[in-house]
Amino acid sequence: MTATALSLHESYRRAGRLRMATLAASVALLLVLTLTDLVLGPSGMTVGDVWATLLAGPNGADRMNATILWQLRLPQTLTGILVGASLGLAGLTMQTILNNPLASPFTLGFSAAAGFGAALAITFGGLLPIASYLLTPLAAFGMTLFACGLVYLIAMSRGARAEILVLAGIAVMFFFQSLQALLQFLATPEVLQQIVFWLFGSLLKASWTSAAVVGAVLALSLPLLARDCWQLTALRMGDENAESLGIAIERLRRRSFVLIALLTAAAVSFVGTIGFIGLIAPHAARVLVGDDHRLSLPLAGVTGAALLISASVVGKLISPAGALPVGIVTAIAGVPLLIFIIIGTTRRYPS
Amino acid sequence: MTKRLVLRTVTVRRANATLLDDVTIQLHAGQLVALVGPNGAGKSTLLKAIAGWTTHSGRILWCGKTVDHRQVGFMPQQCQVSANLTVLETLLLGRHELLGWRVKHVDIGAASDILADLGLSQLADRSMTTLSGGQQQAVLLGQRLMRQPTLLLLDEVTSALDLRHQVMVLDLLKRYVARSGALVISAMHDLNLAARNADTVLMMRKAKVVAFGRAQEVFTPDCLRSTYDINIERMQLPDGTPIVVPV
Repeated sequence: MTATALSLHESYRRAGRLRMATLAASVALLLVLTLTDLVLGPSGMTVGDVWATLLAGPNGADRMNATILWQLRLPQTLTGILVGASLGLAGLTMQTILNNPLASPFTLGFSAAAGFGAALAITFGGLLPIASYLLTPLAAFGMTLFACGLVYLIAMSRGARAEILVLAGIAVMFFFQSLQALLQFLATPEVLQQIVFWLFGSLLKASWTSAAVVGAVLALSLPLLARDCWQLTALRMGDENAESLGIAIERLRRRSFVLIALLTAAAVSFVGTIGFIGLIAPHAARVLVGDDHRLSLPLAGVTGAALLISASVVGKLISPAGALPVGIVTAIAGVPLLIFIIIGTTRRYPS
Repeated sequence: MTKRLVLRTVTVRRANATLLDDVTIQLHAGQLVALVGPNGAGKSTLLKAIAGWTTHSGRILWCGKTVDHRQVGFMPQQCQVSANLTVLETLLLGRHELLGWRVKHVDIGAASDILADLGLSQLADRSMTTLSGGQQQAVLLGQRLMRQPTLLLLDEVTSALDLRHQVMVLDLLKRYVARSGALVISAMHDLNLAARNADTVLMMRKAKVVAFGRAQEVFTPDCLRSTYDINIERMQLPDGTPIVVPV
């Protein structure tokens, strides 16, 4: 091997180590945020209390603290982490397969469909013999997958081109938004209030069930996305380039699309729609480690989780009872953050 | 069976236009073929048909069989890359099927050799988004070479390159042909570059192949005039290579 090859090898490994360090640092940040989120709350537990209760397990001696932590805070925080990670992963994959920096898990109308499904369950759920805490997420999940199926059918008939996918998605989004608006218009004031509360996206709705379901979908999707890492990276070079490298881009789009739908459906059906995380986390990941999906995918997941937990922390600081939904915090904080990232990246790489 | 590319009555029609009209040629492996002709003559369509990117009638055979996409390195015209990848990462993607979770020494070594051949070693760590159009083209050519194709199809790979890099790319292609015995077909507009470097010239006009052979034989004033519809003066270098100048 020549000297240049050796030095090239060394610089490649060094860049790889730097990126791994970035990933490790963001994981550490997420852990700190998680602990902060667990400590904050109306009951006035100290860091020491939280740590001791965590170590003591769900059946610890201090019944009060054990119940608060293990029944309320831990499932909420854990669901928050998993939902944030799902949205970050889905967002990056969506931006890659649509080759569009403005895409997010909600671009193709998934959140509108979930909202309609939930509104439908809240309005007519009383007619069915199923508990509403199960029916609402189930309906949201089902409706998201139905929307995904619609987009799939429309777009796939034309070879899964990115523009067709976006157009089909926008059509589906308006369709479900109108249906949801219709339900809200017809609803009684009490039902309307419930629908609006669901749409806000709040971790108060989380439970161990939600954490388990979102976690299971995430665990299923991760290895499948990992297998396509190099192909997704190659797709970032444009359709023609990727195709000439022997990548079946249509099939790659299809299977990624199904995974995005599953991740998004699971993420929104329990806690409601939480905007901007799926848009910002991928940008942050790409700015930090570039387009190598071996690193940008996990980092988008970690960043998404960290952003959501940050929103939860901010929400708790503003209103300690936890009444401020994270969905509102992410939407308000997301706008300046997005503008900051866009300006930052375009200054570095003028087109 | 000798290694050769055979096209038999290949025709491509789109809507009411004929993009490729009854093309029948044979090209044996181990040579650099320059594909020349005016804009819209069907050069890109011919390359796409061989690469299997467009449906066609007639037959296209490589070594007696239908073209296997894994053996083809195809570089479409005007590839633009806006990905946040370094030059080295881009080259490595040429072998994406073989790359594991941890990139191996051999693959980085191969990329390093190709970068040196292309005169781009000093750009290895640069982001693709910071390169000029010509530099990107050269990198993408390197990416195709990482796949070691036996049939390399290039659409205007030298058009955006400066003189030095034009020479380097064509030298590299000639060395690649000599070393691997591959067939390289490169569409180009620069007739003098074609005359100096190509073993065979394939001239197209209005969806047909109008001339085929060595540059000395193809680049006759009559042939050039009827193909390009302008008057062209032909001169000669001491070694017999023709130089053509529009007048």
